Amino acid sequence: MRRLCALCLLLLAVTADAGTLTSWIPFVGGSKAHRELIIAEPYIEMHSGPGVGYPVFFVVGRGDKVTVLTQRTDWYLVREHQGREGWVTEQQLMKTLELSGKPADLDVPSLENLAKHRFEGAVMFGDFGGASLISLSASYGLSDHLSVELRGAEALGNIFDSDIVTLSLTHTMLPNRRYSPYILIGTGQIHSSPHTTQAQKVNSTNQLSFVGAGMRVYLTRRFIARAEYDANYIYTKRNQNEDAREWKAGFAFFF
Amino acid sequence: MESRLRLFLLVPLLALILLGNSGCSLFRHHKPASDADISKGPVVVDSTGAATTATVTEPVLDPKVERRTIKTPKIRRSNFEIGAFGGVLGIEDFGSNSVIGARVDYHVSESFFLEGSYGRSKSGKTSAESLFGNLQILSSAGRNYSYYALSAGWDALPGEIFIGENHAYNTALYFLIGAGGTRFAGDNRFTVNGGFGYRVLVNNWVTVRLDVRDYLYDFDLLGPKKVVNNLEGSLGFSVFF
Repeated sequence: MRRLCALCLLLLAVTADAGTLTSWIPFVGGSKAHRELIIAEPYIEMHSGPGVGYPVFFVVGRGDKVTVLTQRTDWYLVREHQGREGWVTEQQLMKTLELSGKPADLDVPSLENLAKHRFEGAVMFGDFGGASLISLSASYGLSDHLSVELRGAEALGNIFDSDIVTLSLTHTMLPNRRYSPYILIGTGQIHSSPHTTQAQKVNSTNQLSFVGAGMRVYLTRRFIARAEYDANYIYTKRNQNEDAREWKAGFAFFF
Repeated sequence: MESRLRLFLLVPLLALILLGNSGCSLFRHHKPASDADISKGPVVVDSTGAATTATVTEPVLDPKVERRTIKTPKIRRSNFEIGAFGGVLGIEDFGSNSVIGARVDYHVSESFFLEGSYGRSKSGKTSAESLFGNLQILSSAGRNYSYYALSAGWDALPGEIFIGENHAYNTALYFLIGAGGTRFAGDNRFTVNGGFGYRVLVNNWVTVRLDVRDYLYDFDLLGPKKVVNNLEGSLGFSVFF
């Protein structure tokens, strides 16, 4: 559990970019320079919140300048010249112009720039040798095809529980495609502790290695569905090593 | 006689024609300017109408201007939400107790988000322990209760609430489902959770949240294995960053 919490923090640390870290408290980050855009369409609509369910309360006309304060999912909080602040959809803001007169350059996540991202997080659930598995991972792309993944997982069974930490190298075969199979190889450590109801209460920590294969399916924006099968080999201190089949499925999201 | 005179005049004439065609410098004739000649330089017509060629020279003014690279400010993202909560957790067979916790949310789209949460509580006594004073099922350390949950949420009903005539706040009713682990009575247990919540945005960054969640896991400490339901109600706040 502690490892999982540590991994959560690590995931946050690697995914929050430097700009976010320096101005992560929004009230303090106000002095930072903001992007300014000029409305090119007849008007853009300002919603009271970041969602289609929130009402339009103001429109900004063509030629007016807006300051973009922040982005939340596919909505942008903008301030118009009289100081009103409202949320604008990405589709509308994409049709505005930079001060240089060029079309607005927004970092819109899409299938086209899927391979360009470097940081990715994943949450998956599944089965590890008969125990229920919860897995949390963070990966960094070394290239379009190769990435390094750090994973923390907990396998909760009827007889014993296991904490697993692994480091793996993943090869994504079709990084620019919606459907992309991948293979991975890795190593790590597994710490197992039997339940209190068990007669033998001996904790054990062993090294493990694994090979696996999986499939990634790009869903939308930063969202990827992911399913994976791994064959684990646990090097015990006994005469025989153990193996554990592992499958899991879940979601990945990139930054 | 006349034919000799004709011959005398025609021979030098013929000689002159032959010498002229063979390129003798004495009889140089004008050739039209070829393409190669034109390419040497532009033909400039002066005021007198005479065509001359001029060579291309460097411009008179050669400003040494260094181009500035304009750096467009990056748009800050605020998809993460971090917060704390406190409330009441009913631990089946062990009474209701206070709970405190923290949560981190990542908003993937305007309607969906992922949440990681962690909470701590301490269980009370079972009915049997209260009735029979000497009976102690769990030690003090064993009564420590903690859980974590990884959940997916759906903002099903975005809307607004109005307080008086001048104050309107954005809200969202959301549903969550997920899985995680519960550490109680010395063991970790795979736990499924589900519930709903109500988020009120005080402004664009700060939210107040009201959550109701049910945690389900298998429990076999007090007899045969059974599924227990631990209901939690909590009030919390969070900040977008």
